[in-house]
Amino acid sequence: MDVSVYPNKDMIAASKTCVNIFCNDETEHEPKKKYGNEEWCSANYGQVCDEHVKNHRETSSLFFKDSIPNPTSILCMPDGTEIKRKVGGMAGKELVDLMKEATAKVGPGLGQDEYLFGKGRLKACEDAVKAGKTKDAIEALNAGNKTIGKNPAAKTVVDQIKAKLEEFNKAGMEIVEKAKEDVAAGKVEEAKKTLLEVSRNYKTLECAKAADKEIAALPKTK
Amino acid sequence: MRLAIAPALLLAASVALAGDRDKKEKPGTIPPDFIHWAHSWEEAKAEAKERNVPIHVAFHKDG
Repeated sequence: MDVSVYPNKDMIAASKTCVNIFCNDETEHEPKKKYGNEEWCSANYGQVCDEHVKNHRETSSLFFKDSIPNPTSILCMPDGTEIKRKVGGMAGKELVDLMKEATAKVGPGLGQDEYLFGKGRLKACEDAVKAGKTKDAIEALNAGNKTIGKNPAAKTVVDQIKAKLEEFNKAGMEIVEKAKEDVAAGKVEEAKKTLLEVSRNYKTLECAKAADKEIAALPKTK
Repeated sequence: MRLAIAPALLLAASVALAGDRDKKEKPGTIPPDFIHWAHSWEEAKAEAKERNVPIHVAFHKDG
């Protein structure tokens, strides 16, 4: 079996039910290849050679006592405990079946697409916060929650999304409370501006509803 | 049947949309015809734990 077994539709679909790690301590192959505008190891998209060499160094002693037969495919539990290994080349279908067997043993898990989507929305939120775009940050989280929120296997990622939304809600509530103090101090126009911002930027959160309620109750100004 | 398909379609559309958007925002979005490889053993274990999925470790040599 060589690496050409991997770019196969069924193999790629099965690989998304696992986390995959490529280990090769050799770098005699072409070290760099252009993939569109990106440049990676010629054998693997998304990796540089230093990474698969490092992976080999980190994992070989965990799985082998002496020499390492190549190729070897090993399926492990999420904590790294070995489930099963196959030494030598095999057809793509055999590896797909190994992956299915391991997936059944581990239990219901989150697919790679859903995981990357959820993590991508968290990252988009982080980027939006850095750019000072609160509305975009909340929208990114809401998109994540809407898409994977009902998938029980996505709980750990969804919990992270919900925790972030709660942070925004808390911050929004604090802004609303400050605006209420401004109203009490007679700074109605200033408070109105602040509340409108919360209403617009924190849409879908409780604090936006609280801001709307305060706006409706604002005293009339001349 | 329609109810079962709807979330899948929503996810596919959202992933595709996010994929297009992310492709512009940051290089490195995995093209559909490649396997996504973890960058390190620790990263692999952390992701596998978070997703509750197996780890597939592939040992290879050149040639």
